[in-house]
Amino acid sequence: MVHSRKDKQHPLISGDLVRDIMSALGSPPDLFCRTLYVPDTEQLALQCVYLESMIDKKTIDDYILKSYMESTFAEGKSPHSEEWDNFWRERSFAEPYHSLKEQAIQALIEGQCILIDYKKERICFVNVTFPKDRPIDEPKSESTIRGPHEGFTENILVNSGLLRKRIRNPNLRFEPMVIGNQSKTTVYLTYLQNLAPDVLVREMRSRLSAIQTDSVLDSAYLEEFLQDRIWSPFPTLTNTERPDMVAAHLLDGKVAVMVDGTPGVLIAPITFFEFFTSPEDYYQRADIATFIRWLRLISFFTAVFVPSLYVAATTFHQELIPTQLLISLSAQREGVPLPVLVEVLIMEIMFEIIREAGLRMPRAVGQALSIVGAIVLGQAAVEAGLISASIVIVVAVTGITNFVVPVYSFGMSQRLLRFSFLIIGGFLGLFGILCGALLLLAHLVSLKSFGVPYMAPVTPAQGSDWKDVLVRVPRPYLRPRGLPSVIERLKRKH
Amino acid sequence: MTLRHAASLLILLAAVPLLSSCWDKTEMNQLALVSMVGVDSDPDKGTIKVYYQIINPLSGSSTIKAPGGEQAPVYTYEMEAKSFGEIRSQIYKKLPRKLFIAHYKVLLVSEQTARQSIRDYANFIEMQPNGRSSIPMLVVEGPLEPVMKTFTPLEKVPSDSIRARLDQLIQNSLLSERNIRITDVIERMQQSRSIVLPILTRIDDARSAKSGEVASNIDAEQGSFIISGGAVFQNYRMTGRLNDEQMIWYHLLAGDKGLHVRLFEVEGKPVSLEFHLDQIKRKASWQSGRPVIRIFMDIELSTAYTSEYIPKSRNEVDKMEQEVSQAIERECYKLYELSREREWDLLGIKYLLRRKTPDHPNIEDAEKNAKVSIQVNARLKKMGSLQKPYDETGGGS
Repeated sequence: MVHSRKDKQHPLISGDLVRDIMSALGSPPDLFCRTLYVPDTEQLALQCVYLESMIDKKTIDDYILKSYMESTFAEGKSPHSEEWDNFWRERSFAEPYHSLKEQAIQALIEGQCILIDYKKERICFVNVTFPKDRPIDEPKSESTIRGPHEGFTENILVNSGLLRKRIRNPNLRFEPMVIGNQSKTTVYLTYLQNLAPDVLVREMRSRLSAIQTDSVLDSAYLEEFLQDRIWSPFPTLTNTERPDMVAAHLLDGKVAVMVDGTPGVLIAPITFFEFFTSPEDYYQRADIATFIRWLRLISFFTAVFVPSLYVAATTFHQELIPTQLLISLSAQREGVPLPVLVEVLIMEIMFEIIREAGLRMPRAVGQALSIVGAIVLGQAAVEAGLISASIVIVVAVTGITNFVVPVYSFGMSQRLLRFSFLIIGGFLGLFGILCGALLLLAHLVSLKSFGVPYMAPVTPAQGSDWKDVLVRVPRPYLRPRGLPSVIERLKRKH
Repeated sequence: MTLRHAASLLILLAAVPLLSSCWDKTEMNQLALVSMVGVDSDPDKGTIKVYYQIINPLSGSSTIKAPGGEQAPVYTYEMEAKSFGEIRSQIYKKLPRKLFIAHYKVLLVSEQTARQSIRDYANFIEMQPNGRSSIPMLVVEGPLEPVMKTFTPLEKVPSDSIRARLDQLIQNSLLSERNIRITDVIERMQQSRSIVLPILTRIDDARSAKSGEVASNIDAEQGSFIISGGAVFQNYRMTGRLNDEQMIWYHLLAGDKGLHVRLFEVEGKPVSLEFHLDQIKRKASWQSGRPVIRIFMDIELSTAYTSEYIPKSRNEVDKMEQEVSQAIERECYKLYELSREREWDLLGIKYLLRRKTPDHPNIEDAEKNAKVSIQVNARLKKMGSLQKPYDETGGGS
């Protein structure tokens, strides 16, 4: 295409820019360039370039191109406001070509449309991004019976809206940051300015800004950078997809980290006993909540210790087992070729494999897997003489109790601990388990989450917080001052 | 910090060899679970015999089917050696599994061995790391072997049968008591006191070597054994016997508060009365160099099982209480006389005197000279639901 004004105009005119953009992006199939000519001539009037997968085509057709053709688009002076700038940016042809090209490419991949207006010798970037979000849905991993059913989505703006809906407070802060050299992910540091201790906010801010990584595709990427101790099975941050849980923690003076593109929100600081609490505790009557909390605690100990105690008692300390039970267990062991430890290990590993397969397999094969799983872990294995019946019960009990804890990541730590204790119990008996438990306890009391002792309020003892640890007292008696003592203490540090 | 971690790891590793570990690991199906132990001796050969009754796990469990049909619930192994220590080495000539005696429930001693001495056996039990001394000890009348090789109906494992019977007797009668464990025997013997252990007596000689036959026989008593009477031990030796009647008064005087129903005679008529000890007090004093022991017993009576005669007036009740008190006193005196005659200390008088006057030069003589008075105060506390027994006159009131 030859244009009469080509030589007078800036070199990018005549489609050089479009060509350069195409080659920079590797001529993707979704890159479109629509051209308008000056009526009755071959002279270029306007080129509209966009990535069709990122934009709302209807907006371009109905508003931008139509307006241009009706000559309303180009008239008047554009208003100057921040909002307008977000929607509409203009660059003159006179600016350096290289800078214009870079800006254009960046705008394209952000989902903007580029208008090259030859008439006015300007390039306009118009934000016509089409949000590709799923609707607000119930979180799959954290379902609830009573209480709100909304869950976070992958859109950080929607997520912050969900929080604002719950905390209508001017002190609610969302500090934006961009993390990820390649992914440029938006991250919000969220807190209530009047409640969260400054020292905590400062610490989180500094840890976030110290992160050097190429990409952040999920909040878990940040969790590894933010946690206090890398080599610990226990998480020192918790994550949730439930806005009500984040709101509850923010109201306790904690901080949250929201990451664009993922519904998982990180919350810190967190203590050991908070993993046994759930927002649902506060939606139920106090006595029921206390009962459920105890169930969770018992389940934790069951999930971690039952297989190891079973192995230790049956291999080293048969004196401890009541006689009738010992006879019954002994009868089950008759003809089983493997030692108890190996039996339990095989069954536990099989269970973990089946569970892992169940998480990721296509739904269509689900039934086949559950049938095979039931055979491997069930009566068939017992009847084949490979394992004893009691092992099936032990594995089933630990399997079920493992899911009782409300936070999935804490459930994962239980699995690690269970295997460690199983090995210790199988080789060193009850004494070994005791030593292991003491080591674990020592580790737990030495852990801190953003300056808060992990075992608080049990140790260091915080009497006032005990109302919400092993028991959940009715709301009127619960923390009249508002904040947990550990957070109060952090506030006083400031 | 790294140094500290390394040091703590080193200390931990150093402690590991101290822990129980693979070296003492035993799978459950490598254990021979002993349910009952029997001790006998052969004075002619100078040997001792120990019987181990081992539980067959496959017989007791209903879910695991035993191959080859019905199996015996227990197997009895007989070991003969010159000492208890030797038995530990000899046993694996016969036994294919590791002897595991931590769960045994009953210890039987033959009368012959009991009359010689059980001191060696007491020491042997205390010596064993996993041998429990908190289990009851019984004496078997006659040879031990038939009892050790007898199946019991209902409770398939004989030791369970004996333990369950002892428990029931303790709850429902004064024929047995709780303090008949090996540890009680050792304690009493070390304190120079007497102890009375229950005696197992075989009913007849007809017995079956098949548990199935025992289970299918309607006559539960055939070839079985019963608990009857008691063996008196002094200084680790059985020195005599008590019959069931004497056992009642022995347990009553020993402070046992169990219930017992017995036929008394009130105003010449037989009356079945339930009685139990409310409280007992023993007082020791010295009168002109002679010890005086006063035993006061408060006994509660009940006519719950009385069908012969129900007292209707205050006078009748008083009369009944008085006559029953006297009858109990009489029986207790009789037991005391027997105890003194045989030089036993069934009433614990010697022990009481030694506690009261630890510096006394000759307790033995003092006990022989002791004046013992037993005072029983029986009170009718509970009435049964029967006010007027059906009598021979029949019909209307």
